[in-house]
Amino acid sequence: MKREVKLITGRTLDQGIFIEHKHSDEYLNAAAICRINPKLMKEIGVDEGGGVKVITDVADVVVRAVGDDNIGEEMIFVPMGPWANFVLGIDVGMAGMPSFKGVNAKIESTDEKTPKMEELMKRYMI
Amino acid sequence: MSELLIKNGIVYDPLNDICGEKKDIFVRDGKIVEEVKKPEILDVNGLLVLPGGVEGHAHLSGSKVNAGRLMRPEDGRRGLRRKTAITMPESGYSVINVYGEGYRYARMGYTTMVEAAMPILTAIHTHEELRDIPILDKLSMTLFGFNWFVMDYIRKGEMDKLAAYVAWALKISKGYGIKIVNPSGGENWKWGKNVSSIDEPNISFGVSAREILSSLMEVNEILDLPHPIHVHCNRLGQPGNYDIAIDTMKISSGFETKREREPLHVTHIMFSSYGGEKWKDFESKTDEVTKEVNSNKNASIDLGQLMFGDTTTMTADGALEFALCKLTGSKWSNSDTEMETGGGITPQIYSPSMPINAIQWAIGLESALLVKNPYQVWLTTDHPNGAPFTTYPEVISLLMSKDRRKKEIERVNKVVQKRAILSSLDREYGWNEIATITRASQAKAYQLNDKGHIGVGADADIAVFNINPEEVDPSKDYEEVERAFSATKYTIKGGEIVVRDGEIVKVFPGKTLWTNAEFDGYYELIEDDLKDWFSKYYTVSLSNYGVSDVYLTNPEVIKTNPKIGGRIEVPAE
Amino acid sequence: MIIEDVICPFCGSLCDDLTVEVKDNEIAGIENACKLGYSKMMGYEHDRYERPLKRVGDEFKEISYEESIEEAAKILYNAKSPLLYGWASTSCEAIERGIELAVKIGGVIDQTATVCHGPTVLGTQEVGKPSCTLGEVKNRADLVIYWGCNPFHAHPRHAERYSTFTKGYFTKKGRTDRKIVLVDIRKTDTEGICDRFIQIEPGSDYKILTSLIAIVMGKEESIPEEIGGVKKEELLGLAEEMKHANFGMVFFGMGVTMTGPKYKNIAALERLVRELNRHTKFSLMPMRGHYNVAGAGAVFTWRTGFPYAVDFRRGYPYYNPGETTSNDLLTREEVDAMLVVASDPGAHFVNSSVRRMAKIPLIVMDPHPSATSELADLIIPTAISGVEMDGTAYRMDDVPIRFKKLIDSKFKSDFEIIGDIIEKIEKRGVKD
Repeated sequence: MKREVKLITGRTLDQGIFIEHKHSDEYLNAAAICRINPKLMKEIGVDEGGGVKVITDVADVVVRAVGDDNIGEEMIFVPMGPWANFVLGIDVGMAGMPSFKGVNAKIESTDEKTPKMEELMKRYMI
Repeated sequence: MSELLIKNGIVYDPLNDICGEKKDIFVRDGKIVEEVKKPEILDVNGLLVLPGGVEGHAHLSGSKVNAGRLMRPEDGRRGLRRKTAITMPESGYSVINVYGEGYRYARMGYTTMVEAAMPILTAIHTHEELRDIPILDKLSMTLFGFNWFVMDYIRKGEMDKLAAYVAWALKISKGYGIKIVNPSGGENWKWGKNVSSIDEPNISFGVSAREILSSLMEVNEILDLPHPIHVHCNRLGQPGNYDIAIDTMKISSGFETKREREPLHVTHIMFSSYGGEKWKDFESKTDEVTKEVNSNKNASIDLGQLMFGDTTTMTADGALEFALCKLTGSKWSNSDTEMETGGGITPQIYSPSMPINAIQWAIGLESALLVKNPYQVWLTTDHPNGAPFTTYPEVISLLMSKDRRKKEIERVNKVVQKRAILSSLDREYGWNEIATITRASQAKAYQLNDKGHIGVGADADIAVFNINPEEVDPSKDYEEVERAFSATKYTIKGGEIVVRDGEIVKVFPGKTLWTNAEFDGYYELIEDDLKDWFSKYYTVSLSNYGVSDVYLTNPEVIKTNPKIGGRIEVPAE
Repeated sequence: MIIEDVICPFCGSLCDDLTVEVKDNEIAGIENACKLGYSKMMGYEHDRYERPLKRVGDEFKEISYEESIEEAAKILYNAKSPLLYGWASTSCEAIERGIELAVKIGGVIDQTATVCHGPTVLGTQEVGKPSCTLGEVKNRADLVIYWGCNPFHAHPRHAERYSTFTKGYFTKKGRTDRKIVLVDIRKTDTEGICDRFIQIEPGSDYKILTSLIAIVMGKEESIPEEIGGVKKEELLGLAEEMKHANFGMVFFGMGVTMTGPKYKNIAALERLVRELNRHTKFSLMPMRGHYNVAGAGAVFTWRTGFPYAVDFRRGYPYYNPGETTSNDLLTREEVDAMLVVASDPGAHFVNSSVRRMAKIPLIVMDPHPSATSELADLIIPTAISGVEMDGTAYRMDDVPIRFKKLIDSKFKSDFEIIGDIIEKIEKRGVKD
């Protein structure tokens, strides 16, 4: 089942701590995730740590679900980084600033694996 | 060894009493000398030759100037000039990039500049920009007018510590002298307020402008600083402020100084010569203000001339900028600097049809025409507040020609004929007086012994203008005068030709001059206070504060002779 | 050896009170740093590129430093629209040389503000920026509002040093002398230090800010009962608090610059602060991310006249965000070579931009592997500024601080490398 949400991206402490260790598992755990309200997780049928496919007009990417009560049910939060940005596009109306927050997206539960950073970057080279 | 012979120019060199003599000038290794052996010869037969110009007060580098550039891309897009093989591109009309600043002054025959307002906390920024300004020699004035240490020592009556702090702050900021902006009042602005007179104590420290001015003037003398205290008066830019300018100047009257310059300088006098109670009955009070200048040998002024057009106003007097933006509705930036100073920026369009602007324009010119001794006046526009410095050639032509002024007066709002006195003034500046107010006055006021003249031993900073002063009548041929002062035939800086036929032909960094007034035991005197306040109230560590020599191009230290410390006993606390 | 008052080269707070212990030219301990600064400075040795690398097919081949400079100069000189990007995590001295390089090759130079506080620049160019240094906040502020920013995560010591817990001259009791408010779309960890949290709907900042302006101007009757998920009553209360503060402060972040009408949000916030100055003293400040992103803006501005996205292809600076900004240039496929300095646009640009980066000659100057270096054609290892190289950086309030070199490095600094590239370019002659 696909569910419409607003995609919010941004900094987190862990993403910052491992920002210069981009090939590490720690960075993968910090950035290739999606903070999501537990009710919404139930709704789309994903467990803690399970795969969530985030789909936008631009592309789709698989990240892992992390339950967070402080996130509203109408949005998901993905830390800034290769995974979040893979599905983002430019905003031609807004003087150079792409859309990094409040982006229309759909999410669904998936069995697909989260790509490692280097795997994800390879997709750009095709 | 490089030598230069500038042949047959008509030389005006007021500090050496040379007034329109046909004369050869000899240059070797950057200095004026008595003779040369195998020089490059520049035959400038009959052309006007002056010492290199000295800009005495302009806002050219540092946080405030850069905030102005940032806020005004529309200004940046004016004055664009492509790179050449040797120059970087230029941008800006009133807020100019660093390269444009250097090149444009050099093209106008200026070779030395003073940055008029440097906060200590961001002095690195000021010097980083100065480092990037090509060609010119550079000085900057450190801001003290509502600095907490200054106010605290004054309220406690600790003059020795005040002197020590000023010496330390000049050294650490690599500043040249004491700049005072809206003394006492600037601190009130940090609560959104101001002071209304020079005797009103401010909210947080209880000291008045008069106390700050007289204490710092005394410290200036104790430290033997080369330059007067350099004052931006209270209530600047507000109707009815002329009496504050007069009262401020009177603080210096009778004051004894060992230096051969006035002890107090009131800057951009135009903005402080306002009569009337409101903008509605706004009028020129130049007559009253210049009466004080003419009777007080201890005060000098610079014009702060306003020229019509679009410019950017910026000052450490944050309250003023907010007042202006409320009048115009234009964009406004503010930058209060902890413990020390403040700053504000707002664009202004000065229109000849606006009554206020027309009167302001007249006031600047009146000030120049009414002060009898040209050594008490400097030509400035308080760049970019009154206008960009690139309007100097036009200002010069106005001062030299009553005809031109008459024509202008007909063009501007008629109110200028009633509420200003410009139309009644017949005086016309001569070449020698122009040379004085653009070079000699500033060199004397900053005690720059190697600048502002071309006697033997001086720096070989020379401007040759494409005009024959013996043939041209500036009173009639004012357009010719303006054209000639806009771009030199040659500008020579430190013995090198940097401008030829109005184009930059050589680029190198100039010198940075600063004043070292430290005396025996000066740091020990204030060390505990510094450590205490830095740990409690500053957001940077004491050890990370200040400017090291890596930021200075060709630094030159002016060592003074303070009359304190090792020479006199410092009273115990 | 103990080095005191060390400057942390991580975020825009630019804390300058770290104590670092150096043993045998290695960092042995750090005091006072937050987790972000600690991990960067302690982790300096991990995963370093040891030598310049050149892509040959799918492999990277080690080349000499000299060869890498020659190669970089060749790529940049031959490009018609080279883009020089990054600059927020290096020294002002390196940035200065970057601009010189951009001028000489007739390229475009842009910095990370293009994807963070670019809209703040644009708002300021419309309305102006009433601001102050952080010490003003420390000494005076009795009302602090964090709006769309999360210092707990992004600027961990900001609250302690500057804005919430710190004691100052007029705020002797520190935290208890201040009221702290958080405005955000979600309850972040920053909420824990605040007196009040105002939760707004995503993308509603503009509506709420303009409503606050109306209230401060005395036009509260024009405001509906609820706006952006906030009750009118709550906004009236906030406006009242703002007007009656002795010294009010708004810190704002990406939550404001990146949502809804973006720069218009900032313009509205600046207008609100301006309006509040008719009643009391109020200031605002963007929470800058990288430790020297403010310095990049400063150097760009004084050297070119413009703060980011500066295009020298015409021989003079041309600035038009939306056209000359990196993501637009890349997405339009105008860029035909790119130099990335101390930044990772491969991780932080949008899909269409990174796709272009993968196609063109891409030079990366970085100490560590990154998402960008995965796509690179040429990698030049660098010394880490603030650890292995000294220089100047600007704090988020535009206060410049000279950062220190703590240990010696075998790697060249950005400053030296760009200088070497410029030298090679000059041999080829400045491009007209």
